[in-house]
Amino acid sequence: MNLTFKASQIAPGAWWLLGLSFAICAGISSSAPTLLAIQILAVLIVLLAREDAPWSRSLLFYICTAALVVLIRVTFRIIFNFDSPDQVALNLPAIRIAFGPLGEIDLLGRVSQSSITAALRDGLRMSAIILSIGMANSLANPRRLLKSTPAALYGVTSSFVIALNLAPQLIASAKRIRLSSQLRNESNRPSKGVMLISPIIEDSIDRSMALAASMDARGFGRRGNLTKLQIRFSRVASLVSISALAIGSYLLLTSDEVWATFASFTLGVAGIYASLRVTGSSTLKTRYITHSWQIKDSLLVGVSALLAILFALGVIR
Amino acid sequence: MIQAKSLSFRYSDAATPTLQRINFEVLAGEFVLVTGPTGSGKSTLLKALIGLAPHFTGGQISGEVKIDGLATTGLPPHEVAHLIGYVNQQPAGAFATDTVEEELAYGMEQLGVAPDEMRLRVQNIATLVGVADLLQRPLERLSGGQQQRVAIGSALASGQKILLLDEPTSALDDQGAKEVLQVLKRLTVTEQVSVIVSEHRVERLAELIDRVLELRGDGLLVEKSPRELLISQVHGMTAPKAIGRECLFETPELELKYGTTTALHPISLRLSTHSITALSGDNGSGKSSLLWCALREAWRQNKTVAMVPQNASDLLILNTVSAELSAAHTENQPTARRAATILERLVGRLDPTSHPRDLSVGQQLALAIALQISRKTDLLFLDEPTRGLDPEAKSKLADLLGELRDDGHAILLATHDHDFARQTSDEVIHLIDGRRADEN
Repeated sequence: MNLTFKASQIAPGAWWLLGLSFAICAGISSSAPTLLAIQILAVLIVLLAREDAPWSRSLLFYICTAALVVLIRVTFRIIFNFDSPDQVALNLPAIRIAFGPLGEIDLLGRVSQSSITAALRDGLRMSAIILSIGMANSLANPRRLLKSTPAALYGVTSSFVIALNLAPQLIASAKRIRLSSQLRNESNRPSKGVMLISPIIEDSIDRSMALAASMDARGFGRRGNLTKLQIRFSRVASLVSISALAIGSYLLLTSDEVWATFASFTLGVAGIYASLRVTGSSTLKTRYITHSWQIKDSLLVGVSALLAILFALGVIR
Repeated sequence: MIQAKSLSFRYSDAATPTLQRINFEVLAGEFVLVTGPTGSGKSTLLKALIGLAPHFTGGQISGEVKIDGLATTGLPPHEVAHLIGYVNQQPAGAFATDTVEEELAYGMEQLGVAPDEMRLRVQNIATLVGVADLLQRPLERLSGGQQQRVAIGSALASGQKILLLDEPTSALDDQGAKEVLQVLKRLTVTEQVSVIVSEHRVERLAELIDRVLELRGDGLLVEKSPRELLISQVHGMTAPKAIGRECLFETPELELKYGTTTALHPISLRLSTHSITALSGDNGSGKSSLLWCALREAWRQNKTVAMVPQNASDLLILNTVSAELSAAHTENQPTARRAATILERLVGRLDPTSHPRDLSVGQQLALAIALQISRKTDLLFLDEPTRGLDPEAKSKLADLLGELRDDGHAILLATHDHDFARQTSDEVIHLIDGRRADEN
């Protein structure tokens, strides 16, 4: 049995499940060492499994974003610091800003040990989620994932193409725009970073749109012989189920409503199943290269599920 | 096969419609050329036929299009994809897979062709368009011309009865263009496929096509016979003049490798003032690679150099044509005015408020050239500067380059257009497989 875990040898769906599982664990956990471990693990997995592909070059981008998030979270807590500290860790000069009749607020001032720790933990949780999704994005081939898009989602394919392609495209566009300003400048110094953010975003959306247009023109999203009613049903069902899954994930991360969370996820899965049943019957596509689901894909999915369950049950904190 | 009745199309912010009450019909087995000046709406017409306009471009469509008897106006592209094969003008952004082999099969997968049949067709088509030895190659490692071959191959493989190809040979060398066009012609005869091709380089097509649809630039369409077309295409180019020269830029031996494949064997360049040097060669022969290596070397030596890359739109990053022009050089106003003058000279007046993204490929190229030329750098590098330009714009570009040479600039251009290379340049360096041809 071949057990090498290189990015392209695992189904992209399995990478995404692993990423989501990591993200769920990070969302549940409230211990800084665990959160840190998740991040280190995510980065290590990318470094070990990635191959030379455009979407694999974005690791640094995710690491920087993650670090930035922690930094911002802690800085904000130090600036907007509203607790009355028992254990003072930082004693900064307070700045009082008066808003006339609305009262006044204090900025900076005395910051407690516990509030910094709490901010750090919150920041680490968010950065762990970013790195988990970043891991999935860096390892899962977005184009292969698109190929296995369920027919039920065909009503929203263009949005799907754009969404999946956006992160890798952002990196590519950033490089392109930097090159452009380099070519257009008198000297070869890259110009100011901030000025370029809006062209980068615009460029990535344009290019993702171009890809979506091309795929569409070649028949991606073809629905074949479905009736209007079937199409409408599958569209409503997939939208409802995606919303339900989104709400479920939100509840899972933010509340203790076990039943509401469970109900949302059940509704989401049921909706996807129903619309797959309706549209799946008339799928007209064939595969040139079939990537069969292998034992190691199942293994990865199993590990992902186990991790999420252990965290959800509170076995790991 | 295709009937268009009173077909009109207008982009959202445009003052005038791009297509104005156009009528035409294309029969089964006909080979039709759509031509017209840069920016006259050739691409828009093809996009309107397959539904990309307005579904992905925005804008308003009216009139009626019938494909094989089915009224398709207003249908999204994926609903007509089984009837029409379409090849985008810029293949690189249109690839949906990672390797040549998968890309050739992609259209067939969407149409549900049986796997055994697909494998057979992929092999045949790959040989037909000349990419048989590149099947496993990642698409991003292909040259511009090779990418175009793959895009055409993928459309051919899908086997629809109608093929729309937007400037399919603009990045192909003469031999490659001839082969591809012959394949298309054969399909029209043996399989009764209807082919509509938009092209500037009419001389490549004149003997093959049945009819010409000419967009005049005001949204109207006139039909012509192939012979009428050739007569209107006669034009001359300036002959190079020899003037006293001195060496401006000399490179050490440049070479380039990707992993185990060598894109460029050691080669050195010497550019003098008052000179135009052309790098010519077939697709994938290393023209662009050499140009980029030379550019990096020029930067290293602190030369003033301007480069127009092969995807000229890569240079354009702002929201309007006028913003691009005035960004030409902020602390030096005359540069912006000069850029505007050059642009107007190449492709006429463009709406200054239009978004560079909405320009035709030829207009984007002209804008990029204008921006870079206006900087009056000692060295000017151009990668495929004729893609998407109509013959008139092309001869104006040749004149413009001639003037720059007379002013003392050193120009290095990479082109697969042998005629353009011969007619504009003092020296032509021919590349074969990453080597100088005269060294083989």
